[in-house]
Order: sequence, then structure tokens, then C-alpha cells
Amino acid sequence: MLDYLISGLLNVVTDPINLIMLIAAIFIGYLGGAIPGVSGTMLVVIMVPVTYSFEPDSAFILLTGIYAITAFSGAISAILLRTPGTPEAVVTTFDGYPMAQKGQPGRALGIAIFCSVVGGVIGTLCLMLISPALANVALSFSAPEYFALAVMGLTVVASLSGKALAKGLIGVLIGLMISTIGMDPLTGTLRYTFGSSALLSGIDLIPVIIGLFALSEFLKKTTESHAVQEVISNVKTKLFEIEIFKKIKGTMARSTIIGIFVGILPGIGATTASMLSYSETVRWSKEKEKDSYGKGNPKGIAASETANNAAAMGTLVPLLSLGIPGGATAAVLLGAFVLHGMQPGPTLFSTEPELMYTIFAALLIANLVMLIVSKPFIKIFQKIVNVPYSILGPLIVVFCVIGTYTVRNSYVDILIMVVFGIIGFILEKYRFPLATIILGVVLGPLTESQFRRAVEMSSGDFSIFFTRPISLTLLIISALMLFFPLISGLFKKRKNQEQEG
Amino acid sequence: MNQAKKDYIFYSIVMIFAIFFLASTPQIQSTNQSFIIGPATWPYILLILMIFLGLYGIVSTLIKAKVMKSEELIAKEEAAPVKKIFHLSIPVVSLLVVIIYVLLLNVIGFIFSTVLFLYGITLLLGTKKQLTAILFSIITMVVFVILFSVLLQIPLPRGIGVFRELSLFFY
Repeated sequence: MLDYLISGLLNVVTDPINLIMLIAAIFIGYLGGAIPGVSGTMLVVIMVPVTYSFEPDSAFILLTGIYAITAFSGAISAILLRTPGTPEAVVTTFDGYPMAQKGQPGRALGIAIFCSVVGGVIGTLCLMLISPALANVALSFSAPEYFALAVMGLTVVASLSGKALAKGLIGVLIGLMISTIGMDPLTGTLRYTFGSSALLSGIDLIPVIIGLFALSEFLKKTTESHAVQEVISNVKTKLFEIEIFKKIKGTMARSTIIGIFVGILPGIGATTASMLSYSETVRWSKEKEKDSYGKGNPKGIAASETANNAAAMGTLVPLLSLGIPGGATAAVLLGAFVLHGMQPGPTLFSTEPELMYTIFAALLIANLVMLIVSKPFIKIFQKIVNVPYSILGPLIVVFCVIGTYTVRNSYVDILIMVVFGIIGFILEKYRFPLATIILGVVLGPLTESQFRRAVEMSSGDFSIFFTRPISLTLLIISALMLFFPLISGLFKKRKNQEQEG
Repeated sequence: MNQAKKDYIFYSIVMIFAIFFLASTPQIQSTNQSFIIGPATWPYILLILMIFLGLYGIVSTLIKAKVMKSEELIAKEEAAPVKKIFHLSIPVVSLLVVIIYVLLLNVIGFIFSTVLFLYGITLLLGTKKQLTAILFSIITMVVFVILFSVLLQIPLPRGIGVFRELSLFFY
């Protein structure tokens, strides 16, 4: 195996075209990922047709390289603009932006870079080393387990909404409802299209995300035109600070494991991984510390960035070893393999070992390169941040519009984006946790189709979810996660009463 | 408006949303009867849960509001002085400008609507110099067209009629 990896590394570094592709991947990944509205998925989608004429090696170095870089680069705008450059960086805004506002943008970025590299490199190593073994675990899953898994993902964010649990749950349900619009994947029946042909293929995730997070944020910011310029400037990226590292090392270790594990499970990508890792970090911290989350706690950034980079690599495990896409970008990559006349799956390792290890090598290099390239890139990015909001805001809107339009070339998607921008703007005034809607939309199709498949499997017996050990365990964990804040709240109340008494 | 009132409105909207979709769910007719669970079952589960949560929200707000009143805690109004244009706040005006931009996009195409939008919104958000606004809007539009349409070959909206013909000269 080590021979393969070395030949893979040599293939990337010595071949001039491959090297150019890697550099291009890094450049595109940074620029595209850091710009809100240009997600990693979209970049890969755009590049897939471009790579058609390339050799498979070069093509996949470019595509997977962009994929690896965007797992991090979304954090730059998440921290400096509170507009996540990619959906994976949504959770990074929770603590990254407050920290930047407090006058420590350099520290926030440094934590993000360092954690991304650690998460990404360990993720890549896991992808290479234990992917067959881990894939075997997920391989034994079928519909009931997948459904239970999706439920677990849903309950996590509902519990993230903390005091507003009912609102969080409503958010998830709204998200799930949005995902039912369009053609039902199992029977082809139309649902809630209200006679509109534009809604046949459903509401895409991108307009929802861009609308809820970017456009609503723009509308909110219009009153504070100069705030960005004043608060976040003079960023000196502090890559490694020993006292910060001591604080976050536990979080990093836990988040790497969560990230890789969640990434490997199909259908649940880096976005969910970072959400799960964040809520776990909050739960594991001391009672005194809990209030500091969302206000610039370094552990919050570490949780999100370590997990999403590790998960981005983990997502490739089921794709490369089983041919199952772990997320949207992985699905596009699957299409790219087919475009190049290959079918990802267990056989690919025996028929194309060199290509596989070239991909691994490219991922490893791309992740390590972040340590060196991020600092100068953030300086360039700074120029964008130093521009007043009356210039930057309109640019964000145009990016929102183009970003939405390019995904499906659909004008209706732009309208949907604007509608969700308005919804997000209004809901934020009601202190509504917006991320829960996104989670519902992301996990909706998986949850529903696996639920129905499972019931079909048992010929209509709903107990199938509780009679299979793995599915039962996952559902019990979900229930505990959902009701844990309530139960612990009750305990706290009783404790306080006892102390007062 | 205090928090309790806001919550009543919020949960009521949720209920209306759920009831509206619940009313249109029976229209979903499965064309394939071989499945045990049809396409309408899942939405039914979601919507019933949503109504349940909406009711729970209203009831819990009622209880909370009573407790609040007995303690005579009334939420303070956020009464910061707001800059207004035609009696509308800046975010609402910005939103209207964005909506007009998006609607124009399909009629006069990306080039003209983007220039108009950028010029208008830049002035609205506080750029003082006319020249800055004009230069910014034209240069930005050109960069976007070159970057996306020419280099990345993403088709941008062209508009209709004359505007469509015109846009074909550029991308």
C-alpha cells in the first residue's frame, strides 16, 4: 500500500500537468469557497464538464483538490463576513464571527486553518488506511438503520436550538416539508407543485441556503453600513498558539472522530458533521463555559472546522470503496467517474489502484498546503473586507443571484432564493434558529425514502425500526439527544430549589 | 411588540402553514398503488406534528405570559432611531430594490439590470460620490460577465427582445 501511495505522490508532483491541476484546484478552491454563494459543490459541478477532455488523473486531482480546499475556505468568509462561503462553514459562523467582532479575527482564522489541516490530514489518512473496515460497518446497514441515522441527525440540531426547542423542531419540520415539494422519488407522484411546472423537480437546497443565510444577512446589515469595515480589519493570522491549542486539543480529537464517522455514513455530509460536533462540544463542556458558545469560544470554531474537514474526507470513503455518494458533492464526483468511463466501487481499487492513490496523494497535499497558502490568501481576502458595506453588500447580492442561477440555470430558483431571504429576515427577528430549516431540507429526502423503504421491507410492519439492534440503538440515542436538554433542565431546577431550601 | 405577542404570531403562522398544506395533501394521488406507504403519508406525519407543536407553542406562551404578568416584567421596546425613506426602513427599501432587480433580470437581462441595481443600491446604502457609484456598477458588471459568462461559460439571464439580441454581442 505504501508503494502505491509513493507512486501516487510522485504522479502528482512530477507530472507537470498534474501539478498545474493541483495549483489550479487550490486557487479555485480558495477563491470560490471564500466567496459566499459559490459552494464547493457548485465549483465541482462547473469543473466536471471542463475536465472531460483531461486524463483521469489530472481530472480527479482538480476535482478532489477543489473539494478538499473548499472544505476549509468557506470558513474565511464565515469568520470575516458571517456569510459562510460554503454550507459546510455555517457552524463556523457561530463562534468565528463573534470572535472576529471582538477584535480577534486573526486568532479565529488561525484556529480554523490549523483545525482544518489536522481534520483534513487525519481524515485523508483514515480514508486511505481504514476505509475498507469502516465501509464494511456501513455496508451492513439497510433502510431501517439509515432512517434511524437520519432521525439522529435531525434531533441533533433540534436540541441545538436550546431554549427554543419547539421552534427548532418546527424549523426541522418546515425543512422536511420543503423537501417533499416536487416529484416523489419512489412513485413519481407530484406533491405540492400547485400546477407549477417550475416546482416539478422540487426546491433546490442552494436557493434555500443562500436566501436564508446570505440575502437575509444582507438585508439585516443594510442599517449598519460601516460595521464590517470597522470591526474586522488588520487581520494577522495567528496560525499556532500553544495556549489556544491546549484549550482546543480535546475538542479537536473528538471532532475528528465525529467528523470521520459522520462523513462515512452515506447521506450525512460535512454540514451535519460540523453541527453534530458543535453540539457535542457544547454538551461536553463545563456548565460555566456553556454560555460562552456563540460568543466567540475557540472550541466552537475548532469543533466545526475539524469536523467538516474530516467529514469531507470521510464522505469519500463510501464513494470510493462502495460507490455510494455520501453527499451532494460526492454525487457529482460519482458522475465525474462515470463521465470518465469508470464505475466507483470495490473493483476500482483492483482495476485502477494508481488512480485511487493519486487521488489520495492529491488530497493529502491539498490539505497540507493550506498551512502555507492560507495566510497570503487571507491578506488578499482582506481587501474585500476593507471595502465599505455599500459596495460589498451589493456584490453579495449579485453573487447570491448568480450563485443560485448557475446551479440549475433556473430563474425560478432566483425567485425562491429571494422568498427565502425574506423569510429568513423575518424569522431572525423572531429569534428563530434558521439552521434547523436547512437541516430538514438536507436530510428530508433521505429520511423519507429510507422510512418508506424500511416499511416496504417489513411489508407494512412499523416495528421494524425497533426490532433491529443497530436501528433501535440509534433511535434510543436520538430520543436521548432530543430530550436531554429538557431532562437536564428539570434536574437543574430541582437542584436550585434544593439549594434555596 | 413584546416577546409573547411575537410568539403568538409566529405559532399562528406555523398553524396556518400546516393547515394550508394539510388541506392540499388529499390532492396527492398516487399513480402507483403497489407501495404500502403512499406519497401522502410522510407529509401527513410531518404536518400533524407541526400542528401539535404549534398548539404546544401557543399554550406554553400563554402560561409564560401569565407568569410574566404576575411578576410584572414587560419586555422593553427596542426604540433606536431609524433612518427612513418614504416612511420605510432601509432594509425594507433594500428588499424592494432587490425584488425589482430580480424581476428586471428576466426582462432586460443581466447586463442592464445589474448596472441599474448596483448603482441604485450603492447610493441607497450610503456611497456619497456619484462617480464612485457609476464606475463601481459598470466595472463590477463587466467583471462578472467576463468571469462567469466568458471564462466559466455559465449562461447568465439575457432578458427578452432587443435586450436578448444585445446581450448576444457580449456573451
